[in-house]
Amino acid sequence: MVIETDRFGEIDLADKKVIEFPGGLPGFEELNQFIILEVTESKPLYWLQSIQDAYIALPVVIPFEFMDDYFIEIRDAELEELEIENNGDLLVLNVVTVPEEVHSMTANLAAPIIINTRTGVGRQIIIDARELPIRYPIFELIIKKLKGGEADAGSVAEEG
Amino acid sequence: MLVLSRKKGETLAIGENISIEILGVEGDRVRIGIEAPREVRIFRKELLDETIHMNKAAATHIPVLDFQKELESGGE
Repeated sequence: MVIETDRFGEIDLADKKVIEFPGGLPGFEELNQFIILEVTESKPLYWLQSIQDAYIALPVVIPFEFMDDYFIEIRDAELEELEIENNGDLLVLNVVTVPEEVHSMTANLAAPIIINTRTGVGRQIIIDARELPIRYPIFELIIKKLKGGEADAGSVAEEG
Repeated sequence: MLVLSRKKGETLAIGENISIEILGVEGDRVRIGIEAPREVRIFRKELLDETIHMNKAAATHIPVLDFQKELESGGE
């Protein structure tokens, strides 16, 4: 099946794993099927695109790609609900809010989206913890990652 | 909605496994102690409200964009 999306044009679902969110996402309770898109120009952001509403796509990041000390505690009941048997099947995403002033973009660390990549089931949970701010500035970290990647490649080349 | 008043030191039970104790009242601030099973997540309601708001803002306010270019130019 091919779907039409507002931002990314036509997407063939045959190549994509559809993630089911049984309760939807907070604010989009009626939308329970999304796909994860990797778009070259917006890397390292990913997009959680609704397959039911062409206009709904949330930019997300994988927190572990930016933060060495990102730590969340997922409860047994939540792991059971998602039927996570192997920790390697767990994908954690944070929704990114991008204001007009792009430098001020933030990630919502307090509400991680947890996904079982094997079964394709997900849920957004709320964790009330001081170390997980709801608006965590992430622009500098993204820049650092982008620049870091380039610097590493350069130094390897010099050594060779 | 159920509305009731409790005094400092008194407790409310919600079902059999959750209890909420009023620990103290100072001005407009109430300190509450909650006992609940570990599988029950307890969080300030405004975190959910803000997450709803932020999800909506994240999903609908962003046009097609070239972050790569934006980030590279912005980082210099």
